Amino acid sequence: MALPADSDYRPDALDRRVAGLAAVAIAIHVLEAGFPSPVPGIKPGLANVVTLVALLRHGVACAAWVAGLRVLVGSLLVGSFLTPTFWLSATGAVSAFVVLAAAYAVGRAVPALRLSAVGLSVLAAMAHMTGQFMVAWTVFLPHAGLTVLLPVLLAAALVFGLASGLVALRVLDRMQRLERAPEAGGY
Amino acid sequence: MTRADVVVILLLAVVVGWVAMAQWQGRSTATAVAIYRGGERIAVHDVQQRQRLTVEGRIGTAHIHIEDGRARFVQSPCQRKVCIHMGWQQYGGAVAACVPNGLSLQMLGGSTTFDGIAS
Repeated sequence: MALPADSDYRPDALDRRVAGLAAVAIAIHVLEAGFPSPVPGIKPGLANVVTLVALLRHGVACAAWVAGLRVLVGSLLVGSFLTPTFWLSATGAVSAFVVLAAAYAVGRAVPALRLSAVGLSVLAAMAHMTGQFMVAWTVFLPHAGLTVLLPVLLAAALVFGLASGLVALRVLDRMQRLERAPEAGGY
Repeated sequence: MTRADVVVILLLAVVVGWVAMAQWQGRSTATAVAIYRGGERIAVHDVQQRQRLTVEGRIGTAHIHIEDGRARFVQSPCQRKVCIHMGWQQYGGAVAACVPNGLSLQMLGGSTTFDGIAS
């Protein structure tokens, strides 16, 4: 297939990586959106496993692309683009990413403070929930009573963050082993 | 997992515990209940006085009962009846809300102050 005449653009390695990882993240995001949740606002957030993998294998830029594309395309597919759900999701993703990138940078600068996927995941999950809660509380439902829910939501974030961190750890480990055995074809 | 992981997870667990303590500690029995329609306070009632209220919401009439220092939704035209399942509210600051119908009630008095995060 011919590219447009004025385009010299060729996707580089980062583009391909971003595309592949974002596709996986979006698939998980959409699947997860289909599951009913017992409490509104609580879901496992397994798509963040992909963000973590992107961050730990390919760095901050790749992770930012993967997280951003997931929120955008995920919301288009689910049909929540520009609805309150989308803004909550976007705020959560941005808060989580800022904390994630900061923790990652600190870990690189000071090896003693380096976190594995588990620590990063828990931090990101808590930041996600806190950011989301702040928007829900200040923009959509400015009611003091909502804060009664905060401990429950944060506890859920802690547990689910731990869970997806452990999943990410296993995924990273498996990917590394596949790479060491080239006949397996990599990923 | 690294040692820093463990430290971070424990610290965050402490934060969650602290938020929970701040939220649930020092809550005390309410003295009044405020009824809201679409964020606007439309009435305040003494919770010691037994009352059977009917309140018009966005999609229909809801029934709110007040007695023995407590208040609750008992009937609502909404689909999922979350407000009814929230049951009796009796502590200062406690809330029962019906989002589809745009109605909520909040217990007042006692210690309605929240923690640093809330205020």
